Amino acid sequence: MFYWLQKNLPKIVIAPSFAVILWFVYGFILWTVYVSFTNSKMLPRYDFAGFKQHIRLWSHFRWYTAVENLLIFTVLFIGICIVIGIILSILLDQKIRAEGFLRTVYLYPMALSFIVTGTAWKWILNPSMGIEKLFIDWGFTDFTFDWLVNRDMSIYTIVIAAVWQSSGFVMALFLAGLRSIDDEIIKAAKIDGAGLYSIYITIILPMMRPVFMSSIVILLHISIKSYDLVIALTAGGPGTSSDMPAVYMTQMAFHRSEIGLASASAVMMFLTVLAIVVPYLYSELRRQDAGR
Amino acid sequence: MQVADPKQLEALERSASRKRTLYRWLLFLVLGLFAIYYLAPLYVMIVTSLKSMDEIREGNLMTLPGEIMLDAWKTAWSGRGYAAGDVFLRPFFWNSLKMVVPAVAISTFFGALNGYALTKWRFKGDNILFLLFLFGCFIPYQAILLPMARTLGILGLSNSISGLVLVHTVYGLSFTTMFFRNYYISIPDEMIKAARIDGAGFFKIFFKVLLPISAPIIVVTVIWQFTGIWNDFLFGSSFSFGEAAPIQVALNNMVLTSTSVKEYNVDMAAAFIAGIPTLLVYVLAGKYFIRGLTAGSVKG
Amino acid sequence: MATLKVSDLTKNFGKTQVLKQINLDVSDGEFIVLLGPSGCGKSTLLNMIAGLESVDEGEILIDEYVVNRVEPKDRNIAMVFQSYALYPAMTVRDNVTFGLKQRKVSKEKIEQSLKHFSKMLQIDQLLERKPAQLSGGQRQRVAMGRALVREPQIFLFDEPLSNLDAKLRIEMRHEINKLHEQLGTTMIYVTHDQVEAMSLATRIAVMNEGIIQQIGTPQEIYDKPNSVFVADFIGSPAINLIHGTYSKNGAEACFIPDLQKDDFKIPLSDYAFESEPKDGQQIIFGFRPEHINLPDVSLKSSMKVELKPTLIELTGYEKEVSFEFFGNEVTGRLPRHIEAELAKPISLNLDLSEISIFDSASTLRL
Ligand SMILES: Nc1ncnc2c1ncn2[C@@H]1O[C@H](COP(=O)(O)OP(=O)(O)O)[C@@H](O)[C@H]1O
Ligand SMILES: [Mg+2]
Repeated sequence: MFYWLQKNLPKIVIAPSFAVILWFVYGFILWTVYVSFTNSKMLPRYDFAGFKQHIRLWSHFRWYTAVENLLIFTVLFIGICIVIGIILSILLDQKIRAEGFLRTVYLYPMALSFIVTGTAWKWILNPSMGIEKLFIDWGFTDFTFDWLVNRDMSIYTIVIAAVWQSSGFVMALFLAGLRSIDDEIIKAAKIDGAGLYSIYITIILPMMRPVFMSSIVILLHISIKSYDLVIALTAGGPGTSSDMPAVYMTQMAFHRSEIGLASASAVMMFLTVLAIVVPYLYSELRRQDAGR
Repeated sequence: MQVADPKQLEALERSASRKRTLYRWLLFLVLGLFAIYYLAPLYVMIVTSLKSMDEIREGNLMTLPGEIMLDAWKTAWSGRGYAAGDVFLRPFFWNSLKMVVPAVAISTFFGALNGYALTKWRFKGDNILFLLFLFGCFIPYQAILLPMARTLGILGLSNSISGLVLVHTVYGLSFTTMFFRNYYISIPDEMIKAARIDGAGFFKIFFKVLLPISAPIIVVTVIWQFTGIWNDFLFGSSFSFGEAAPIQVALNNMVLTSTSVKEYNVDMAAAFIAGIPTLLVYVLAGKYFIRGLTAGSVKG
Repeated sequence: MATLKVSDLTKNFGKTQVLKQINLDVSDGEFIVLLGPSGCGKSTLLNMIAGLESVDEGEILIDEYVVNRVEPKDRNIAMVFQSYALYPAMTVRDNVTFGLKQRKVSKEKIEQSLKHFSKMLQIDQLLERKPAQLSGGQRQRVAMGRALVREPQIFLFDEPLSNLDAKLRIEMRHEINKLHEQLGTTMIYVTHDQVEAMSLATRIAVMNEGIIQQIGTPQEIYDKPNSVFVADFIGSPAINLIHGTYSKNGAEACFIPDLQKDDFKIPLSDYAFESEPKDGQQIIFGFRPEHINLPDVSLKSSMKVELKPTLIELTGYEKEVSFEFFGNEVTGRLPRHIEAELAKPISLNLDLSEISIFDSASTLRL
């Protein structure tokens, strides 16, 4: 008995945590998937209703806006963050004296919540008193900036604030990648006659493939989940013009009493994440195994 | 080519040094512009919070306050002094603290224990187990929001700080387990073997051998969890309202439920207050903050 | 084909001076090896010659022109690194030809060089592979190929063989030796391995703590080390060093070891002093393991000694025997047929024609 306890102690220690994860992650996800196939409205009902909610979801114009916005947001957010991240990391890698300070400055927004970020940018982008007024005061009298209240442009304000918050993080990832490169490779390239520009383009950036991969996966993940920033900055408005799937889901769940529909949208989000993360984790694990 | 002609040599030298200076200037210009881009919103927040509403209407985002007014900060922190519809941050700030401290402590402790058991006492299926934990880092929380709300209701924890502690502990476990597992896997197994030969058991090894050398990863994990939980809005706004809300929810309510006139100075002061704890952690322990971000970059 | 001259070269990293007024004169076609312990500044010196580190003080001249501020690519040098520094995202072909492409060499010329040198280095089968798919030895060859195709006027090597296993290292050493013979190009080679240095160099520069201690042919360095450091660094097993006193009585000079018994002394009348010490001066007496011989070997200048073995190790074709020598332990290299037993004194012959004497205070050769 004592021996059995000894032998199985590691499993016993892990068991409570594992049970919690099984229940609260996997169990809950299954529940959500199931409910997305029911008629649940205000309260969950367990009668099977087939694909009804999914069909409703994909015929809902608001869901289309949300998905379209997510696409726009994701492409711009990831693209800009990576471009800024690469530029900053390469520039910071040039043996700058103020590097520590600059790095701190570039990365501090990451410490702020999306609600704080959204609140600040909401004021900065304020259509009458914010950046518009600033430029008018500076002498650009025709300057207008009303994206926050413009149905066609509101999604881009979310991109602006999100890029501000997260691009420093991409910089940090790339900087860590650059720092891990063997110094001798760069020396060899210099002797081979490559200029700084071609060293980075032909030698270093191709070596950064894993960093590109991680950055893209992480940013994708942030963008699929993005909820707080939208709420704080535009609350999905004007109208529903800056809705995103995460906002749609909580709206349906907590304000519209459409639990079934909300679950269907949550399942869509879950599947999207699954499609990105599983191949990534798989390749990541294989890479680690190969590196061992 | 042959390094031969002195004239050519001189030209080479001159062009090399000219290029270097030019690059240097360009470099600092671009870096400086980006620094301004990142700092400007912070500047705007601080400046605005120190102005009166009249001043805000007269000036623009960048103008400095004529005289420094702390009224907005007072209002944001402790309200205007009348009861109805007065939202201010003080009680919610304490709510957040009461939520963060236990959630961080519990999830970190169990993460350490799990990481230890998964790496130093290998058993059949431990890798699969870890993957199952790891996956929890990636799930979009929308997929568990509804059942969680119901579970909290059944447990009688709806709209309570204890409920939020439970939620954050549960979903923090994946991250803390991953952090500790990845740290302990780099610690040589010989150390554990030596301790076992010396007669130490499972818990003795954990508390006497492993925990004392875990300071760096504990700091990383605590910072990660603290930042994540302090900054959370989704769980806070989904599972609590009114008095039990954490600070991010209160901040958002404050900004939305404006009285007749919008008071941007109060908004900015409130936003700043809500950001102070995490900013402080970042400034004081930035190294560990970044390490957490990059080390845990398998997650999201 | 080029000469290289380094004069009064100094380098600081922050407050620490890692190179102190280095002088080095390399004539065309020489194979110079920079030899020294890890951290003594060898790589720094090589990097400065390559133009990868800036010069703080002093001058570097290639073919008599000061190149202090000339970019690495304009110095017409090629370099092989310890980690090989292959570009991981490029194939072997692209790795090898990258330098030529940067220099806008014509396509046919590139193809021709590639063919020639890849055959020579036996990497012509590997051209389409990525570095990650190569073994250590193959990577080393590719790194060599990348340097060779450039046909530079000076080759720089920074410990190119130290990541290889023992067998491959010897093989590549031979190839580098042959290469130097074939090409006749000036080569500067950094290593901390004295065997490599001895077997490759036309001249060795022994470095320590940012200073070139001695420069000379391998023979000179081995036979006439100019300091205790050089004597001790070169040779394996290490030279035997005995502390004692110099005694001069008329024409008769001798060395009296500390802790000696029965008036033991070693005659030094045949030793050619560069500067003769005073009577009673503290000196260090150095002799190499192979200078302990069996009594039947006839020598020009020698003395008989009785020594007690304390440790006997068979290395294969010979025996390394440690002896007790007035409180010191000395090592001898003896033919393996000797019959030595622990603690049983044997008669031996100490060869005095190749010894070295150093001043105790300055540790320099006398
Ligand atoms: N970039 C650098 N910054 C500061 N110190 C350095 C740098 N490069 C080398 N050093 C120091 O200079 C000394 C000589 O280094 P190195 O030339 O690499 O030695 P070696 O190649 O002989 O082993 C060492 O003490 C090393 O720590
Ligand atoms: Mg070195």
